[in-house]
Amino acid sequence: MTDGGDGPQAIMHIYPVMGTVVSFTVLGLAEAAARAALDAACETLHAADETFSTWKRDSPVSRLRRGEVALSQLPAEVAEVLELCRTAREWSRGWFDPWAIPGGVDPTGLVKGWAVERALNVLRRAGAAAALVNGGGDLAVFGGPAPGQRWRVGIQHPWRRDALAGIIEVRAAAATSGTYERGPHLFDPVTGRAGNRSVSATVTGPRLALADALATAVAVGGDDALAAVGALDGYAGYLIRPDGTEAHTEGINVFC
Amino acid sequence: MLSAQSASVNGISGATFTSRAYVQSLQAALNKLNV
Repeated sequence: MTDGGDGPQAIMHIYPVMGTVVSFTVLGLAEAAARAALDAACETLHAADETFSTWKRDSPVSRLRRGEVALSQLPAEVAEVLELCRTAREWSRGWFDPWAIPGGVDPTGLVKGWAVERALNVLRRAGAAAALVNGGGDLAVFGGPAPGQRWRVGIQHPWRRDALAGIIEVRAAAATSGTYERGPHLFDPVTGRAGNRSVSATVTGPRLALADALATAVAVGGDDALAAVGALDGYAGYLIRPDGTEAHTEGINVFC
Repeated sequence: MLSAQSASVNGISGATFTSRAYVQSLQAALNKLNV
């Protein structure tokens, strides 16, 4: 493992939360400071899960979906996330639409990215020189693995568990969506049913919350949603179609 | 297509794996290498 130049060793950590496992790499902090910052970062992830989980019957968002509480009665983070969902719906030209999901508004497609972003900010505020937080396949980073280097991220191959579809360099955020891990779970707002036009969709950009939602949009909407991402400042996308062919916008280099 | 073993990467981006599937993921293999 690189050690970030003359700083202390990289500290690694994993934390199971939100039904997946989050991996951390922290550079430039001494062990004790890094561990304290990681504990605080994990606490923000746990708190986000408690607030937003649609699997937990009594979470604030579950209660909102059932119409038992008003948005104004919930923690301010819920309104913040729904506002980001509104932005993602507009930017994706409707391919990401938490309001179209049966059973009430469901921000799940954006929340993990939002939470990982917040966990990364805890590490940044703690004074880390660089860090990478990977929320089960959606990553937020700052700095690099060594001075002058960018974080290199492999894109999981959708059909071969031990292979990568390619490698990208990431400055801030990268999210990938697809159904090859958990089966059909993406809601198509056009057909009103589960469905996806890409087998793998990756979006990079400045904010993981939005990249996460946009990756879901490109997984569902395919080339049409990819074109929407390509029109956004700072965001870029890459998709693999069911026939194995690929497409990408400007601003993303997928190394093979 | 790349074999993950030959690629030097800092993380894996992919469809979200379940906590149960994590042990078989490339990210888990990568974490094991770096611990």
